Amino acid sequence: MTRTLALLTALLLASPAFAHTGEGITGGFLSGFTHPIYGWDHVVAMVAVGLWGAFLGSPAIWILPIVFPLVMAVGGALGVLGVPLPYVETGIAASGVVLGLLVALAIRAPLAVAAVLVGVFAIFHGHAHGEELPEAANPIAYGVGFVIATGLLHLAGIGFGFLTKVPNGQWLVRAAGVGIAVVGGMFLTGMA
Amino acid sequence: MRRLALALLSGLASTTQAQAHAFQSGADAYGQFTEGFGVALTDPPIVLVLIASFITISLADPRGFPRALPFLAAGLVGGALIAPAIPDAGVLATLTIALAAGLLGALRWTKGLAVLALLAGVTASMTGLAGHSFTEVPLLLKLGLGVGILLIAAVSAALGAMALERFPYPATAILLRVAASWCAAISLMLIAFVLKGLM
Repeated sequence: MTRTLALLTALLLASPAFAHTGEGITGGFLSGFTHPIYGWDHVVAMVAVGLWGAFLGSPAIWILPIVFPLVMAVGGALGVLGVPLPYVETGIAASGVVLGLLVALAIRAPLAVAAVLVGVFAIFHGHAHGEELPEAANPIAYGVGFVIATGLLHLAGIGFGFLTKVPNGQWLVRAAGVGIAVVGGMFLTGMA
Repeated sequence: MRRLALALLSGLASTTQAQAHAFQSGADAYGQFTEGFGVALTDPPIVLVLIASFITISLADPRGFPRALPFLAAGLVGGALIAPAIPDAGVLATLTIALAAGLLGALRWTKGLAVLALLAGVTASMTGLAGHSFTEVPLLLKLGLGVGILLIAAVSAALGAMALERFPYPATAILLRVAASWCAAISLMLIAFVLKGLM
């Protein structure tokens, strides 16, 4: 567990490598992969999905991280096709606030409710990714990149969420939820 | 598994670049075979539909590939026959099947997977040969495409089956279901790119 946490910390603090980014398959993959990671509004929401899933336990622990990328792809498709979606940035920021609070307050929603809520927020995230597809990027690699990055962020959240199984770990997870909600609130109010 | 990996590596090392299926006529026999093989391995819709379908099949039954193989083979032949009539937009059909296969895999669906294998074969073969008349494409090139498609399907099914048998934990099936859902998500994005004219 200590080694895992150390590795996660190192991964989060690692500086990006910018060799040959922006064009071709490699550039497209990197563009897509880093799009969710460089946006803290995306990161906190996706980690929160994993946290909340871990908190809710099986089967939510794996159903939510399946629902989110799938519905996010729907939003991404809408963004690519230029279908307008109002209040995208507000929806993304609100996802951080709501999901963070759900974790912080240890809300145990029924699976269907959790899946619908996660799905609704996923549309906004996906739309932003799709709309912001860089023109020079290879679109296939971009799509693969941001789907994989999203999944890995969920996995990070689930990993951290396993702290609920250790004594007093639940409080750490709930504190993370508070942090996520605060970051979401900063984006919502324009402070970030 | 080692032999399969070596075969795959040698196949990958010998492939020639496929340039949007504008097959080079007049190439020698070996060149035709490797060109067809390369098309299967480097065309994203073909790769996606096969990975998604055969992960789904291995999730339903880790020993399901041999039963699905005749349907896949029949699909390859069927796809080759209808390919001349299919414009490049036939790639949408391939991506739709990939999307459906990914969703079925995420749900760990167990029924009617012979039909999935058949449709995967038809669409993969159809996409690889889209727009070319039956006599235009040399037989060896079609054979190379078929072998490439079979290889991707076999490796996908084998990896799924091996994972489930070597690591018989609930998390293994969950990870495969997640992989299937990623295939579905990527397929959906590719459908959008095709509709937008980016592919």
